[in-house]
Amino acid sequence: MNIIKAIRAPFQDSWCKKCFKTMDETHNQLFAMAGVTVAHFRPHADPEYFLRTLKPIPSLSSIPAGLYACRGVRYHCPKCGRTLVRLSIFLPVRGKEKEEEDVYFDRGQVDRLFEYH
Amino acid sequence: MRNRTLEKVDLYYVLFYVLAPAALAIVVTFLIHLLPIRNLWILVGIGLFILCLVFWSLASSRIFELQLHKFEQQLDRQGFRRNYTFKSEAAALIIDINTGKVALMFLWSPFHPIVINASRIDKIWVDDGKFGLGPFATSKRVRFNFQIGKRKIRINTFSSNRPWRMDTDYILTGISKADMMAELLDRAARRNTK
Repeated sequence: MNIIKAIRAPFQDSWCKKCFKTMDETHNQLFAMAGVTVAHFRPHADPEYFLRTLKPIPSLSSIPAGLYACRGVRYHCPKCGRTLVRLSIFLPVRGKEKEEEDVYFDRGQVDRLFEYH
Repeated sequence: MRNRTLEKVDLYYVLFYVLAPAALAIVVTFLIHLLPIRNLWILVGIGLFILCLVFWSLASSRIFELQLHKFEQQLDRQGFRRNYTFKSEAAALIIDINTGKVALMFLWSPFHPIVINASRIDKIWVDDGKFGLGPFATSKRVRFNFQIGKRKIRINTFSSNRPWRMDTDYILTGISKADMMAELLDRAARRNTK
């Protein structure tokens, strides 16, 4: 059982990579990427960059055209207490989403983004 | 820099651009022909013709780039705050949202850039070039357009010689750029009318 789960786990964002248990989604928040406009997106892996750039927004309609957005989801494992944050960066275009990349943080580097939500 | 009429194509510049290298090549070939070296003029003529082709295909964008750089420096000296610059293959548009001004330069009129008040813009719209229905809809180009008086300005944000589905990254990026530019122009126009 665990072997199959171990094989499948890397492909399941919401599964804990240690104990293979389904993690709880504790936060789901939309962010605008301040100053990152269409054709100016560059991949980043530095948590400080995301802490500086991401500004929480209530919905995609509240950001101007051409500005990148990010969907941040924070997971928590009820068994081992591990947390994981997935930041999905995309360009919203008339109701569609042009996906750029998913960035993962599993050591609480960007947990501050969800503090007040 | 002129602040008068909107000139998308400067006829004198285009004529000079096409005729000057050709005339120079003909004159040089003719002078070589007068020399007592047999058949040298044919080689020189072919060489100059190839040089003319290279000039015609590459020089316009280089001249445009150089003139745009000079124009940007000129705008900076005049206190024009360049909030956003959009360059397409045929035109460049620079917006100062605070003062509601728009600077324009066209590929075939690089020596006559203009600065206009955005309030002069009558209509702004985005053309996604959509052709076909439903999932079969495609597009070869996306552009934003605006109208000043009777003149329509069309600036491509994406163009291709083959059709692309509407949900491809190229088309979505083009639409996003066009939507953003239309929104910025609209903001500048509203700022200028206040």
